[in-house]
Formats: sequence, structure tokens, C-alpha cells
Amino acid sequence: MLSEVDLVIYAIQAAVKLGRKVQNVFEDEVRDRELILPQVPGTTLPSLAEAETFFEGEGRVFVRPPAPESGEREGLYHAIWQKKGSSIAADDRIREAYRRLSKHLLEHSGREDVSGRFRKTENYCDGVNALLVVKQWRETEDPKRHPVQRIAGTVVEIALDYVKADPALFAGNGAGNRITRGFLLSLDEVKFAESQFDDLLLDILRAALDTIRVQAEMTITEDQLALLLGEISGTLADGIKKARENGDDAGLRTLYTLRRELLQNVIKTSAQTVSEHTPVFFGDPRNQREQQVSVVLRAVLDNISGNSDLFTGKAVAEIFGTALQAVAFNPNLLAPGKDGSERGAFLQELIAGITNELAKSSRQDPPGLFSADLLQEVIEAALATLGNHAGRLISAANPQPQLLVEALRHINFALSSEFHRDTGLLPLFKGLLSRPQLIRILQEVFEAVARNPRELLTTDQNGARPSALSCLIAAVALAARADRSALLSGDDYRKLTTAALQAFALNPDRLLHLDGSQPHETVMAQVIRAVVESAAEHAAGGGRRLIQGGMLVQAVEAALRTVSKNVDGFRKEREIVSMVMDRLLAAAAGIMANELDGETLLLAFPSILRGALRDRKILDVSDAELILPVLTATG
Amino acid sequence: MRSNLHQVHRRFSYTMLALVVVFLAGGGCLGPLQGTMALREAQDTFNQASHETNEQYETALRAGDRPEQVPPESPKEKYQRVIDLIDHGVLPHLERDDLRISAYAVKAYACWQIGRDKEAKAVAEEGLDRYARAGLTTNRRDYGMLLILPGLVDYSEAYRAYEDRLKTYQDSYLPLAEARQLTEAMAAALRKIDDINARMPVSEPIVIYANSQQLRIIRNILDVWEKIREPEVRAAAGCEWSCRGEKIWMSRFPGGEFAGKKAVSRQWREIEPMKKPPCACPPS
Repeated sequence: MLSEVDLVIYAIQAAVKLGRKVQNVFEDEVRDRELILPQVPGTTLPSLAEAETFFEGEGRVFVRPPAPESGEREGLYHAIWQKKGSSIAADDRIREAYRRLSKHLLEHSGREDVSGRFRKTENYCDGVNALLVVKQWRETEDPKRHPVQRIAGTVVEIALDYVKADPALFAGNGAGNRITRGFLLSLDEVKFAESQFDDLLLDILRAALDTIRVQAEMTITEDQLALLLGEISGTLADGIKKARENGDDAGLRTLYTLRRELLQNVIKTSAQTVSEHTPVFFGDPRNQREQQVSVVLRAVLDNISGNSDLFTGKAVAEIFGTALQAVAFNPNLLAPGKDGSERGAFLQELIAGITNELAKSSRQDPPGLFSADLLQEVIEAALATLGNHAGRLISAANPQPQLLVEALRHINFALSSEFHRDTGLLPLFKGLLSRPQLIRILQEVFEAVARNPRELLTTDQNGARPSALSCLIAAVALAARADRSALLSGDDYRKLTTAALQAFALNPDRLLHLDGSQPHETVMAQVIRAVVESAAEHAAGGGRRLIQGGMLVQAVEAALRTVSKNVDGFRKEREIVSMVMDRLLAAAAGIMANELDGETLLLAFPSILRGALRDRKILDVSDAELILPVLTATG
Repeated sequence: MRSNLHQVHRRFSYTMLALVVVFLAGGGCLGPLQGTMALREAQDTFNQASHETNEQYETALRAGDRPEQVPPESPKEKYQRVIDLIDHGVLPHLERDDLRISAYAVKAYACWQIGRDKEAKAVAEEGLDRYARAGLTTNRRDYGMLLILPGLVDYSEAYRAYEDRLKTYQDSYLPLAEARQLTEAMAAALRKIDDINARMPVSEPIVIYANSQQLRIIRNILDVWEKIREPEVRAAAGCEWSCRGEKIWMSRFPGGEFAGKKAVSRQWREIEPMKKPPCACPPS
């Protein structure tokens, strides 16, 4: 095999100096190219015999005479049927009528059989195309079976094109030589008995050469490149074959887009990642054949089937890039799946889980907080989290369920009207958040889940009690209901989520304990609502807008931190948070306008709240008596 | 081999390569490859023309129009370009017999498609002669193409004549004698095409093509017989030719799956309805 590879490399150079060898390779290839042969001329109408059989049998209704007694009108083709047998032209009209009718009936029958009475023209065309594309040899007799031999001529042609554009590419030990040699060696790794993937192989070569032209400093060795290109071509060919076998036309389209437009991205990403993390991918010679790149690519491609509307070619290329990068940082991502299935199954299940969850969310009316349009970003966020927390989220000995997929499900559930009986909350909350903000929120949640999966995701056995994560997200979202004065922006909600997650981490069991059955009945939800509602109402009433945006988030944060230290006090007096906030805002708008600005108000708030939670009677004094000592004490 | 490669690498300096490329761009340095590259271009053009021709028949089918005997303008121009390329760009530059055979095959078919029948046959004959003299075992398809070309040309001539006759008899029927004359000419062409089965196995791609064209020709012979007034003669001819079609369908195609089987199957299904009771085909 090596000699053939060398031969072609030699041929590329020899083509420039008119070597005889390359000529032979190229000439053989040209001689044996497929030809499309024309058909002999002939009629395109169905035979009269066939038309007659139809109109005398199942199609007689179309040629029946009128029946005035039963009110039946004459058949559509009665008039021309009457003239049958009078001339060639008249007979041809019958044939033409039958042809039109059969086409119409076929379109409505949905039948696709080319051997039935009616034939779909498209199918016929396909068949004829297969018939008229004539090969030089029978499949089993073509002496040039190895892909190197089959595509040698085209490889030379491609190389010549690149030489014309950039002579240095193939000069001396030019990068083009390395790429082409790596590519040719890769063909040994892939068992392509059929020629149907030759075009794919050539696309890969072109993409590899394009990559090297714009990225000349790639440090990957020839053998590594061979392995890499072999993995990519083999996996793509498998994907295409599988989609063909399953009749997955949409999936095929995605794969073709990927192949036509984005192969270069895939190769560039792979080569870059592999060269930057060589020890991971090629470090241990014993692991060289583990084919990490193809495992990752397959994990992505396996999800296209049935979801090709979600997986555009661009999305596939980018998800693959992210996944590969994540694997480079943490090879544990290639753990087997739940059932101990093959390597990479965990990754495949993760992508599948996210895809299904988002697809399900998109089908709802209205779509959930995270829906299919965010597929790529959500997968990227999950992979980034997994890369950082693989030890917690993946256990090779006991592969865990897909915790991040579960988290996603809990978030979407938190915003569903099934959970909080408020059909307007989801559109309201979603409308406040941009795509990047949504993803930032998701990243925060994923990070928190990675640190604390059990507490955030556990539900009771019959599912009656929602998870803490659902309650937490609902508590944040419900702030949007309370914020009648639009004091919080999308980014503030992201910060609010962070604050809620941090508060939860300090007091996981009590802040999100559900006192009743409704999400707004958790301590956290009540505290958030109290602070936001109070600030919003004061703003709406013409008060000073001291507490808004980031300041309001800080106020909520302070309230949560304070209540967290005395949840029992809060439970005894649930209005206490609003009372303190109202009192401070009112004072700031009136008698203590000079002493209180946003900053001092935030200084005083937790301190007074802490005292009020211990004993509400501390509020039974004048504003000055209540606030000034605190301001003095806090400096 | 590797050491040779290294020598080649060393010998090629950037400057040298750049000079060669400049020369390449000038077109002069591709001498030995020039003919092959021109052949490749001719094949591409030929494939495109054939594809458009074949597609045109289907378009005609949808529009209900009869296809032109000579392929319409654009493919015709392409076929002409194929001939020019082979005459001026390919044959003068090719030495290898097998490549020349490929060129002859493509040229002969291009000539056939633009109605230069005599030239088509002459090129085919020259190609076959060269193939035999060179003792080639490659070019199985090209050899088969050259073998059946005279039959294809003869049939096309007969079909052209048939179309001319149809214009005359649109408002009546073809006289029996004329139908006989036309179908005899087509039948003679058919025998020439069928000759390939004695020389090559039925599973060769080119033989499958040839036999599918035989079915197509039989379908058109049956079309001629549907254009006569006499019902008994029409029925007898329908029986005879559908039986011939059946024989080809049963014996001239490989078993199992092969490229275009569906299309061939459909061709047979177009012929089958002509075999009306009490027609019984003789056992083959």
C-alpha cells in the first residue's frame, strides 16, 4: 500500500515535471470514468393497448356516456373515446388522456411502485439514470479496487490546482505533500469497498488542503493526520450510509451541507484540537487506535436522524468542535453510557437528551424557556460544564443519569403553567431575556448542579414535590411578575439567579422548603417577591428610584442571606421583609431623603431586617430612631 | 521508493517549481497529459449532453410532446463540441490504444446523436479494428459501445422515417406495407444490437444498457403496429413483439439486483399489456 501512496505523491510532483508514472495513473482513471449514454429515440406516450385496458376497466367512469335517467353526466373523456379508432391522431388523444389521468391519480394515490399500473416519473427517472450511467467494468472485475487507485487521477488534478494557486504548497517538503500523504495513508484505515464515497474522500482532501493553506503552522504529524482524516471520512461515510438506509432525506441533506460547506471547519477544529492536545489523542501508542475523534463525531452525527431540522450543517460542525475540545480537556467525557454501552455513549446520550428535551419544549405552546433554537448553545454549555466537572457528573464505574439534561427539564418545568398556573409568566420572563442571557443563566445552573446535584434535582418518589431547582427558577421568574416598574433587566435576572443559587447553597433545605403546594410559597420566592414588589410599587408611586437594576439584586441577595439565618423568624412574620423595605423606601422618599441613597439604604436594610426578624417591635419607633443608629453603626 | 521521493523533494526548489507552474499556466508543459485532459473534458461534455437529452425525453413525456429525433439545440451543440475536442484535442495527442478506444466510443456516440450516421459507423468500425489489433482486455464498456453502435444508428434512421410517415398519416392510419417496411428495418437494427450478447456476458454494464435499448426499440415497434387500421394484424403483431420483448426480459438480464433494474422492469411493463389473450408466447 505504501508504494501506492508514494506513487501518488510522486505523481503529484511528477505531474509538474511530466513524469510518466503520473500520466499512467491519470490516464487509467480517465479511461475508466463513468459515461452517461443516451437512449434511442422513441415514443413517450403509453401504448393504446394499455390505455384501452384502463378505460374499459377501472377507468370506465371517465369515458361513460351521459345517463339522463340517473342524472349522470358524461365522463371527462367520453368525447375523445367516441372517436377512438378513427385515426392515429384520435388514438393518440386517448393515450394522452390516459397519461394525464395516470399522472393525476398517481399523485393522489401516493403509490411509488414503478412496476404498478401507474408509474411515478421521478422514480422512473432515478431508475433510468442508474441504467444509463454505464461503468467501464463490472463491479467485481474492476482491477482498480483500492480507493487510492480509484481516485488517484482526481487527487493529481486537485493537487495541480493547488500548485497553480500556491506553488510552495507542494515544494520540497511542503505542507501540501504532508497533507496529501496523510490523506492517502488514511485510506488504508477506511474500508471503502464501494466507490460511492469517493467524492466524499476527495472533498476531505480539498478541505484538508484548504485548511493547511490558511493554517500553515499545523504541528500534527503525517501519521496522526492520516488517523484523523481516516476517522473523519469513515465516520461521515457511516453517517451518510445510515441516513440512506433509513430513508432519512433531511438527515442526508444536513450531512451533505456539512460535507459541502463545513468540512474545512471540522478538519480545522480536529487538527487544531488534536495538535494542541496530542498526549490526549495520541499520547499512549496503545490508544492510538481508539479513534477519539470519530467517537466524538459519531456521538454528534448519531443525533441528526429525526432531528435534522434542529441540526443544521453549521450547528453540527460547531457542536463537534465544542465536544472535541471538551474531550481534549477531559477524556472522561467519552465514558460508556448508562448500560455500559460503547465508548462515547455518554456523550451521545447527553446530546440526544438535550435534543429531545429542547424538541419537546419547542412543540409546546408557547415553547418552553429553553427550546430548539438554542440547541447548539445549550449543548456547548453542557459540554463546558461536563469538561470542568466530569468527576462529579460522570462515573465510569457507575455511570450516572444525564444530570444536566435533567436540570434542563427541571428549568423548563419551572416555567410551565402546569407548575405555577400562570400562563403569562413564561412569555413575560422569556421576553426579558436575550439569548446570551438565557445561556448565561443556564451555565450558572449547570455549574450549581455540578456542585450540588442531589439537593437541586431530587424530587420525591411520586413526583408530587418539585425539585429545588424548579422552585428556585420559579422564584426568580416570579420576580418578573412582581416587578411592575421594570426595575430589573435581563442581565439582572441572570444575577438574581446567581444570588438565589448562592443563597440556596448556604441553606439548601430551608429556603426552598415548600410550605404549600405552590412554587410562590417557598421562603425564597416570598422573599424575592417582597423585595421586588416593594421597590416596584414605590417606583410606580412616584418615589425615588434608588433601588433598581443591580442595586435591587443586591437588596434581594441581602434579604435572602438574612432570612436564611432566621427562617423561623420569617415564617412567624411573613410580611416582615416588605415592611422593612417599604419603611426604608418611604423614609428615603421623605424625611430621610438626605441620609438615604441607594448605597446607604442597602447598608441599613439587612441590619434592620435581621433585627425585625428577631423581634418586629424594633420597627415601632420613628424612621429616624430606626435608621440613623444603623447608619452610624455601619459607618 | 521513499528514497526516490526524498530525492525528488530535494531536487525541487521553490523557484524551480514556480517556473514550472508559470509554464503550466502557459499550457505548453502539459503535452503528454493534454490529450488525456481533453478526453476528460470531452467525457464531461458528453455526459452533460446525454443527461440533458435523456431528461428532455422525460420533459417531453410530462408535456405530452413527442421528442425531437435529433436532441434539441443545447445538447446538440455539446455533442458537436465533444467531436471537435476529440478530433483536435484528443486523438492527435494520445498514444495509448485504450485511451484512443475511449475517445472513439465517445465520438461515435456523439456523431450518432447529432445525426452524422455514416461518420458514427466509420468511427465505430475504426475503433473496433484498433481494439482487435491492439489485443486489449480493458475498455469493456467502450468495446461494447462500439459493437452496438451500428444497430443504434440503423434503428434511429428507421425511427426517423417512421416519424416522417406519421406526419403524413395523422388523420388516417399507416398503410400495412409501410408498417412492415419500417418494423423490418427496426428489427434488423435490433439483431445487430443483440449480437453483443454473443460476445459479452449479460452482466456487463454495457450489455445491460444494450438490452434495455432493445426493449425500448421493441416498445417502439409495437407503437408502429398500433398505428395500423387492421385489428387482426395489429393483435398478431402485438402478440409477436410482446413475446420477443418477454424473451429479452427473461433471458437478457442478469438475475438479482443490477443498476437500473427498476427502469428495465418498467420498460417491460410497458410492453406486457400488448400481449392480450389469446396470445401465447412460444416456450423459449
